[in-house]
Amino acid sequence: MALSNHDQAQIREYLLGKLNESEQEKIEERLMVEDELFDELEASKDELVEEYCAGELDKAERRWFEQHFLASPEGRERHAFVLAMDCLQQTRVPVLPEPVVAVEPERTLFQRLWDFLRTQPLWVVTATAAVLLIGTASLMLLRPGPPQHSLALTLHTSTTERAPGEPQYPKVRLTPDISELRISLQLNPYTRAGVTYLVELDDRANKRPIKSIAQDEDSLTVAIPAAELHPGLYSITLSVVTSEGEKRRVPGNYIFEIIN
Amino acid sequence: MSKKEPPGQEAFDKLLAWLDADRDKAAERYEQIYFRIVRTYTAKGCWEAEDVADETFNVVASRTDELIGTYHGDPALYFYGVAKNIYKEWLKKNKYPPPPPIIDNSKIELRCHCLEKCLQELNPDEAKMVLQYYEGEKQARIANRKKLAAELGISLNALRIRICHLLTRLRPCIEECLKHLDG
Repeated sequence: MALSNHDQAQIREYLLGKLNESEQEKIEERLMVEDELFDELEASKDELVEEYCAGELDKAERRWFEQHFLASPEGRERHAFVLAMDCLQQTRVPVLPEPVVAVEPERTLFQRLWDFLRTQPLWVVTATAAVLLIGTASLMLLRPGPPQHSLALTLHTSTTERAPGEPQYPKVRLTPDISELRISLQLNPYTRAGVTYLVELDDRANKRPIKSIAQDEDSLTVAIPAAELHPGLYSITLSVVTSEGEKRRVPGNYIFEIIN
Repeated sequence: MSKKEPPGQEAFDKLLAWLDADRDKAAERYEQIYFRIVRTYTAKGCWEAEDVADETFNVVASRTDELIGTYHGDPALYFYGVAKNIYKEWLKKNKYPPPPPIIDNSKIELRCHCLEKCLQELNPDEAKMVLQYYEGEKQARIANRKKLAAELGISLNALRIRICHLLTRLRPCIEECLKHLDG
């Protein structure tokens, strides 16, 4: 049976000590056997705690609530929950509209070369062709032996930075044939698709921005040249820069270790 | 509150059988009634609601033999009748309201950390829903909730209850995380 507005109002009054004894007993009997009414009681507790924290209860209601529900362990726990949620919301990334950027379609090397040559005198065309021939021949002669590879790694945010005990993170060994480390950062509930993030790599001595090479709904990929990674612990953080230029950190770190 | 001895195994088995012929269902019913007594008396300001619920179950268990033959109706209502009297007894001994709660601010940051961690244990859509539900302040928060309900295609009331159920799942995780940090 669906709840009426009257039921909702009565539950609120019950929690604020505004019902007489007989009304209280009737509500309590129903709470024992009606699931929807019991859910309403639980939801109303959270809402009244929110109103209490926001200073929206009047003096008498506030006093009653403090001396009854908030005096219980459950009441204190719900009060602390609302304060913790406010704390989390303050550190959380705001929902930002996706920036509208006019992007010209990227032109291929061939198209750009063709456009250039069309506007040049004959001697420039001849000289360019000669340079290209020599360049191609040199590349073929000087090409290094073994091919270079990327090493792929997937990371999830770690909240272990503030927790006691040994943190768990992946250990990566970079062999000589690996030219770069490609890391897929799995986005968490605090991140949003369509937002451009500032990605920073922290090696515990320095923090520097790194480029992301791809982003979809669930992940963001960065590529770090292997030459820039030395044995040690690294942490990647994401931030978003608001339209006011303020930098806001996304909670959580992506931690990994480079080993010999 | 006068203390009744906890029931022995035989009395406990009879109590379960009275609640439901299927033992698993009976155990669920037992937990549900216990939970509702605790949550209801907590709402009234009883800071020892679990003691009231324990005592209620001890009393009812001691009467199961007679109840099986004589009581007709939802057992939850019988439990409530007993709990009401036990609560009245408790109230006589605890006439004075306790002082207002003191919130230890240093614990809020820890709780915030645990909340962040536990949200990651919900599925991503659920975690986003909880975070969006608490976005904004005052009027902006109300408007935001209406918008969220509309996006989900449910009523605002259904959204409130859905959030309430999600928080019920989150809370034990947060308490466990806090215990871990304290330990």
